[in-house]
Amino acid sequence: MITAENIEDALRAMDPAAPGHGDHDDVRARTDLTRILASEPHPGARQRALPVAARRRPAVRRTAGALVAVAAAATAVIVGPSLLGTSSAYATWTAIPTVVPPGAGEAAASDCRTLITDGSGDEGPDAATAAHLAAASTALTERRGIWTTTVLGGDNGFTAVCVAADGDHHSPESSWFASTTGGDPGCLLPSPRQMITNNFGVGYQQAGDISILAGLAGTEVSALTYHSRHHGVVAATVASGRFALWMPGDDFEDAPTDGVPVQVTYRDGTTATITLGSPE
Amino acid sequence: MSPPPDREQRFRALYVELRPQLLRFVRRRHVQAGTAEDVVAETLLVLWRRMDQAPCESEKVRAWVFGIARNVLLNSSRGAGRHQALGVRLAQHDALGQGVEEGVAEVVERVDLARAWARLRQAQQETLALVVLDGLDSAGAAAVLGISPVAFRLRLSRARRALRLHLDHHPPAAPTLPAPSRPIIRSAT
Repeated sequence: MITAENIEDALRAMDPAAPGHGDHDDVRARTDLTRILASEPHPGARQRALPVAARRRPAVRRTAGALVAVAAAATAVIVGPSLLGTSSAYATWTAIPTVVPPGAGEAAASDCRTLITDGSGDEGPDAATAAHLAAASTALTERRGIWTTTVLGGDNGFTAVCVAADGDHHSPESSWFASTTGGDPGCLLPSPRQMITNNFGVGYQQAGDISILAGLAGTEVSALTYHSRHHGVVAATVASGRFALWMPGDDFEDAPTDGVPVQVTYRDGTTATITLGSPE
Repeated sequence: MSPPPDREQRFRALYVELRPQLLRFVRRRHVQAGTAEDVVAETLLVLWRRMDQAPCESEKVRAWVFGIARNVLLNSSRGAGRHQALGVRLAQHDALGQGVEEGVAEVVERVDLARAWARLRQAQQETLALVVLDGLDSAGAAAVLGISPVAFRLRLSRARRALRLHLDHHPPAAPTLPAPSRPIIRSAT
């Protein structure tokens, strides 16, 4: 029986080009090799059909006075069990976050660590992630309706982001989303007016699609907003060198290729529109 | 002037290693056998001309070359757009059944899976295929698509969910049941 656990094995069994299938046209292989080697390599020739990642690109792009960069870091994504009634689950979400009550932030941070640890399978998270998680401190918390967002920050840009609805997160009826990223030595850290994205795109937390934009913020960054085509102006929380915003839906479905424009406010009162999330 | 001997030697080794894998990569993407060999030949010609840009690690060069093949296919299709994805096919049901003893239930399951797969968007098929069929890790698959590993992880989670939904898999609803296992996605370091 095909289950959620063996579905990928079932797909492999339906591979239209399994290994050994038609690989052995030796004549054609030798002919093509001879023809290729007979052509002179032309290092200066026009580039054609190269993958995007192979083209030279600047590591940092200056836009509107702010430096932006994307850290392509290792990431783990964990999804919680379902919440019945997906549309009502997001009905309380708000575009402008509110403050988490005093004392509740510690509980949220503890919950976040538990979600990541328990959600990482029988063996738990890998040793490096576990160490980063234990040493990380709470960078920011926010509320959007019944949802609490927690960002834990650690050394070398380690970031854990949790988005969880109120309730018992071990219940099959709960809904939550968590991801960890960064922590590698040499990870880029932002300069004062810079922002580095390390969580960006559309995930799924069975309550529905979730679009997330989060990362590291320089010391001069005080606020950030994003104009969503579905939700209007969505404000991020910026605190302790981190920023985070999220919304229901797939706003960021195609954004990982293009990045998204955001409005940044700096502590000196100036503002700028920059693009976050672009790999260029 | 002839290329340095180590360049040709390295290319020959990559040619032997990657050509069968490239053929499978291309054939999975709705390409007929003869055309697949033409695409692979063009891909390997690009590799020969750009050997100095090829990554050193074997997994990275494999992903890099798959990316070249993908772009060859996209460039050759009419109306190729910036965000075009390559749909991926599964084996036909009748081909699966040849010479294999299967019960009715197994046959029905494969048909259901094939139908669910066909209902995915091309981008979702491509995302799943890179990992499940082409055997790339998330970093490699992200390199093929030209996106960050973070973005690829998120696409993969959505594609998996979409396939499960099309198969009508639902998590347990009764509170008394144990919590369902949570899908974990980890990228290679």
